[in-house]
Amino acid sequence: MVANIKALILNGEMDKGIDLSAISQTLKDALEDRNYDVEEKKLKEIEIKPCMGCYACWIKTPGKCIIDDYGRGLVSEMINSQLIVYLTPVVYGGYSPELKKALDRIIPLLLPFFKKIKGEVHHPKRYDTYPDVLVLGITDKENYEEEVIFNELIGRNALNWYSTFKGRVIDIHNDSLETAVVEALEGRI
Amino acid sequence: MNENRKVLFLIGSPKKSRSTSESMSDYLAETIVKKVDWHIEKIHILSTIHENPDRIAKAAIQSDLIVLAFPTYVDSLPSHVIRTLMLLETRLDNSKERDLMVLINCGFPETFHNDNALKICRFYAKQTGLNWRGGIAVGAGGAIIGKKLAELGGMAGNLMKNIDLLTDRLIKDEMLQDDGILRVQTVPTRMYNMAGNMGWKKQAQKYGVQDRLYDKPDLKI
Repeated sequence: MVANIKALILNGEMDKGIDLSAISQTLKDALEDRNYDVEEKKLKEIEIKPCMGCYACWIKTPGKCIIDDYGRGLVSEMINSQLIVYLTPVVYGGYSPELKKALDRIIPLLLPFFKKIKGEVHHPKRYDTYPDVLVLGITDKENYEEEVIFNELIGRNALNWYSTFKGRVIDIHNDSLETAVVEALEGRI
Repeated sequence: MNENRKVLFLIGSPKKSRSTSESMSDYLAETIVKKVDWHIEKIHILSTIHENPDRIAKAAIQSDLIVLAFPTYVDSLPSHVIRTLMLLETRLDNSKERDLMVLINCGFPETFHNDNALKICRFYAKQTGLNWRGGIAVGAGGAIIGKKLAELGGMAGNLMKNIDLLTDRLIKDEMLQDDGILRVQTVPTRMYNMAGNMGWKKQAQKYGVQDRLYDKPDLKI
């Protein structure tokens, strides 16, 4: 039997603001239809302490964060998934603080060193391969400037994390959730 | 010149002390008070945002200028800094004009790694009615290692010059064209990479893990 491929949804819904449950369900259904084993983490329900910028994960316990909470386990779950979905309200053109508190903790996935890659300095890979990443930014007010900033953020993340990042902003008032999710997934599956 | 302005420095580094964000903030604050009689207040965001968010909100309400100083984390703002911006959006009223300035630094040598964080801050200012005052974006911020800029000598010379320029602009109430950001790389790329790469190995040696730097502890095959 062929093992299903693993997808991890990092749900960055906040206590106040847009309810992401409908789009999260649409996403899970669409992924399961495509034979993914889907796991969703509602990050607002999980304590993840802030990265302290101590770099112990690079020079003391290479590849492992010294803070003993889900932020440490997240790194393991991410590198052993084939697809990660960042599901987040768009906040000033970026990710929600709930999603960002998790992403701030994933630098153990990279090596500390500085290396010039295609003319820019980046941290080299720690692992040989990295999961694909799909970013869905959800908004309830269309704003072109904010969308541009969000898409640029996805592009910069892709460069720094050696992943195939794709994503888009979904306006809950003007986009069909189902169509938007399927369109986003079709580029990847 | 604006008299008796209140300046609030919000330090967004998670480090309690010896952060590049605080080094830059302190130098800017010192430069301001040497020239004008402005009131300076400094708050560390991380130790305050969860326990006493009111303190941040009240200080921001009283301020005329908010200086947000933080390191770029994963191409944007650290989570607690985003949370702070959201808090201020709900608490700041429009009873008076307020300015927002940023002091951003990143651990990569090139300053452009800060660009997305800058755009988010500028967009935030526009959305919330704060006057965007630009600021400074620093590459190779790791070279500052939380020291006082004046003690770093030549390496921080260009950064200090740019902060002096920023102070003059603030006092004269001038604004540069474009995004108002002065971009400063503290150390040339090749030198920074070489020193940094040697530094990581040396620090790993201190913990006896120099042979484990490339470990892949989470790989399950």
